[in-house]
Amino acid sequence: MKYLFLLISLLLMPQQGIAQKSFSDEFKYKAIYKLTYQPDSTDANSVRSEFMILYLGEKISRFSSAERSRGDSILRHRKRNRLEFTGRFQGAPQTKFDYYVFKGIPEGELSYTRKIVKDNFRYVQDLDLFNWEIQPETKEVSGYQAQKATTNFSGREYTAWFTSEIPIPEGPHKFNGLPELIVEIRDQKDHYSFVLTEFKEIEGIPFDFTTKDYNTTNQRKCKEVVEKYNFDPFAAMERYGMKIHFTPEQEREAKKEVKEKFEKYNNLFELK
Amino acid sequence: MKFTISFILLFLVTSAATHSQTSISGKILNNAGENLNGASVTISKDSSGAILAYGISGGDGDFRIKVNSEADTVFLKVSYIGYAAWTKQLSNADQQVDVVLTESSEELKEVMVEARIIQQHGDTLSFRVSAFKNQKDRVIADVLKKMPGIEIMSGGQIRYQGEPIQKYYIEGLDLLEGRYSLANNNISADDVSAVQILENHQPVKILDSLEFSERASLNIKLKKQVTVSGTAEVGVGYSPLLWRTKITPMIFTKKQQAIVTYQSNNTGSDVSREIRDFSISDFGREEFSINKRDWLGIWQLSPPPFRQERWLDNNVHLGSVNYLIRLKKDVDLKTNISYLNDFQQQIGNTRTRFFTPTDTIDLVENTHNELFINTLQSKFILERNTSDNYFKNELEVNGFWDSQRGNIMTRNAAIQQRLSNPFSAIRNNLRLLKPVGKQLVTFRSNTGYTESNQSLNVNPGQFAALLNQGEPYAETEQVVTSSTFFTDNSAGFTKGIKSVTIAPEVGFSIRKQQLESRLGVMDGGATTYPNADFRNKMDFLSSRFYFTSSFNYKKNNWNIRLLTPLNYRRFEIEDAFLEDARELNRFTFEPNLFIKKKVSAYWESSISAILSNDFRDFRNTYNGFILSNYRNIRRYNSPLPESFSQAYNGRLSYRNPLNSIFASTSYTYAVTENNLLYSNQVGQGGAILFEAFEQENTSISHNLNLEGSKHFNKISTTLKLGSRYSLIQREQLLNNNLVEVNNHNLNFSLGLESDVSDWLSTSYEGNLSFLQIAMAGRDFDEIRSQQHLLDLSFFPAGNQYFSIASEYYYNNLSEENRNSYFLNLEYHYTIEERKIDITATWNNVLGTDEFVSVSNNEFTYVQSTYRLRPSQLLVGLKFSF
Repeated sequence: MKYLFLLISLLLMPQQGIAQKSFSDEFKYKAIYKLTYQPDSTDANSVRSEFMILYLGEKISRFSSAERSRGDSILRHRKRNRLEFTGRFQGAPQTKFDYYVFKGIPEGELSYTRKIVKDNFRYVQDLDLFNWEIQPETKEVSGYQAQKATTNFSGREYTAWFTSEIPIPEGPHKFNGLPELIVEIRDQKDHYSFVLTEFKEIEGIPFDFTTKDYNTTNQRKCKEVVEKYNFDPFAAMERYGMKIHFTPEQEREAKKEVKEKFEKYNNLFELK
Repeated sequence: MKFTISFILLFLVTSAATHSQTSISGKILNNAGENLNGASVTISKDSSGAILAYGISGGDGDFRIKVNSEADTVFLKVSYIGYAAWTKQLSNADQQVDVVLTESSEELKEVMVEARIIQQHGDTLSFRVSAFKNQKDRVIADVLKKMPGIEIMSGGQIRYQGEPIQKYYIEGLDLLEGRYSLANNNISADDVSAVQILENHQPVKILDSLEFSERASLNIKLKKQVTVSGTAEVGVGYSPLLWRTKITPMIFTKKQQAIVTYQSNNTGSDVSREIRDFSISDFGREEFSINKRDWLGIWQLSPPPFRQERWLDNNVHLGSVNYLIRLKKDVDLKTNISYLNDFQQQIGNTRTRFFTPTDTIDLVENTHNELFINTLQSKFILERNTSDNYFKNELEVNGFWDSQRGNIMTRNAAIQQRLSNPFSAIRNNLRLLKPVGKQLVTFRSNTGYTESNQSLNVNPGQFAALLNQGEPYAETEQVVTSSTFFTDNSAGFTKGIKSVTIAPEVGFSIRKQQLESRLGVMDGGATTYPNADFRNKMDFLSSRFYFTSSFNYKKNNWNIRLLTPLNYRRFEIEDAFLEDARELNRFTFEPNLFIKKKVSAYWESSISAILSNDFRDFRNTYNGFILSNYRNIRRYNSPLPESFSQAYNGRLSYRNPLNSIFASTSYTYAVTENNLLYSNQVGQGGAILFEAFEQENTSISHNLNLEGSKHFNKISTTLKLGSRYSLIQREQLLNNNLVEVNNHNLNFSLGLESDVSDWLSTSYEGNLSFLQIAMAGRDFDEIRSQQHLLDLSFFPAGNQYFSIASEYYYNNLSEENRNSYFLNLEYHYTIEERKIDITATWNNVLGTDEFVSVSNNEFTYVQSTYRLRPSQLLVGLKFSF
């Protein structure tokens, strides 16, 4: 079924590219999740965390890392100054999850977008990705009474907790389709988990999305591009005509470092 | 939330078993008859039960839910944001239900899961200020001292895990360079969102990946990007007439920061602490100090070991201007200028008992001292600290125009002392790091000059046996003129090869010191100068060539640093009163090794070993006697002092930000071999003749430190525990006998800060210490002392508080006044809309008028009685802007 949808979206893609559709909405609620993850499946000490933000509108929701959101145009007016102590803190947002998920773009589907150097890639997936099984257990998560549900997604088994106190059938990342908001979701091995840390109503933030800003492709292609970039970002940058002036030694060092990082990051979020 | 999901009807099967399946379908509309899509429809057993099945309405408002349940009735709930939830008990049978939702303005329940009190992000720990602050806390220092792992020493120095912090940043900028108490005691706690501890912080950005640092720095994160704030305070009191004023405007932006202050009081608040410098020097560098050091002094009373407000009789004015501006690209210009003027009085008495192997001597001195302090300190810094360049030039100019007067009444004499002890210093410190090719080229230059012309007059004349053939005389006059010029220049490079950074450096330093002194006997209007034994005219030139390599290794959880300084040192002393010039050449190797391993996310261990040679300066090489105070006369008629030290240290620390536990322990063992021994000859009137003799000797010290702290979030309490033990063994000449002196010191401390409830907060600090001295195998009485401080603050309303501060001190040695009690009362009222604080304070309610303390060194027990400030009332007004 999933592949069928992929196939369909593949077929539909050229038309969408030409159609240049625009979507707009107003975000009215904000949910912040803390994402805790283990990039190296063999090393329990590699556990890291960062905050992710889900903005919710009438028809559209937008999910991204808080770091990415920080540098975002719609939030420019509330952009905060961050300390610049060392080189580590400068420049691009510090996130390992540099993507957006727009649910409801287009209707009934979701758009996953990822910027690689200068290109903004996008692929579309049907929203109906999950076959949820509701379980009888309940517990309290972040002050909300929540009920358990389980599903399989992309090679991992997940347990989610959703709360009837927020009747929005939404969740972090691509997760959706439970009757109410997901306040916690984690995979069985506890390699990836999202826990709600904040939920509040906000003054409406207008939002616009135009497909022409994106290079629409499919999930497989997008994954390939990202992997290629992660494996050798310098080559990817060169393809865009950006050249870093390294000495041969520095270049070797830098490439080695990237390679080591790449090898340690063996535990991708979406396995399939 | 309306997802126009064209075809979503999700259904679930809760178990594989086949039950009777019913299908409930329907349509969801609003009042206006519009289809609602994206509404959630749930089926549960009853109104509070778990969901059995659910669906989400489609684009036309339709839903269809299959229910697998044997229950007779089910509970249907339809909810949609902005509408009131619709519920109904239904029979569990196939049916069609149409639902009309009515709009509702009911808001969703919002949550904000409070961020952790202490959050860790790599090497940065963020302490959330709001979690530690209570209604009474005004400035950031009040909150800082409650944070686990952080402590503020009584002088104002901040420590993290028992080690002094390296930098105190405000929003990442180092405005005050070590004089951070000014910020710490004035920035409002309300303006600060978090205090960050930057562990292993390398302040030089270009060295960030090359040279690790085991030191921690602190950063104040403000709530606002631009903070303009300040306080103005006035207070008056009685008796005698008391005043207190303080005005401190501050501004913090991304490009500019400034703290300006004027403070004045006679209430015993020692504002000079605000400008005390806690900068720490770089690893393994011999740096020339330009700190003020006096040759001469009047007989001082040892101050009580507690808050100055209890005992300091002062009249102080402090002005300080601190300004930082980011000029063009990342170049910071910093100016710090402070002026301090103070007049202090000390009144008390000292009973000293001198123990010599053959005798004990008792001396009683009733003392009244007047100290005049006049200090100007300034620093001008130009700094560029980026990831590809480092430049810092620091020019420091300090002037001290101090003088003191002292009157002492002993049983049979009245002694007057007049001291003039000015001091001036200038220093320029330059450091450059620049990439050239594949390495960093480094250059340092440190040059300075200090000067001090001091004089001490004592009336009547002292040391008559030594100076005036045993005849009493009118006045002793000691004059000392000294100057020091120094310059230290070095060049080197830094290169990273894989995980190792190598930094060789060559340098050359010169220190030229001049000392002239003369002891005069004034009697009958004439001054005579005894022979050359009581005069100095000395040139002391010491030079050093050095080649130092530093190796830094950083990989995985290991940090290793090795410094291998090779020094060629040359000392030349020319003394006008000695026939021969003294000379000494030494080639020394003084390595310094540090190894640290991060054992786990919470545990860290380190060891270090340092070998060093120490050659003193002109303060320990003069040949003619100098009267350093009215009953101490000293000289060093001996070869150059040389000492060789080995120090080994092991350290283990634990910190867990999740449950707010911080703990550390360290042990240091040090052995020092000296070529000289110093002797104190105690004369009849307690006069001490100090001389140096050539005699190989060794001193050994052991130090063990333990400390731990934990914050209990649920009960808003921070608990801090600590213990220290030290043993110092050394040899001492006492009245021509060589004796071994053992000094044991054991100390326990307990601190508790707790916000017990909304209306009560309490803080307690307790200290127990035990001191045992053994000399020549003979144990002296153990000195036990205790300190207990208990503060209770009551908050009857949000805008006022009342606090009771009580203190108790005990020592077992003094015959009288073993116990001292103090009590302070304070009432505080805040007019919030005007940001005005009104305070009324009653200090020393019990009217305790003196404090007795005991102290000791190798051969004396000293019991000092210090006159305290009387019972005083003070009212004050404070404006925040």
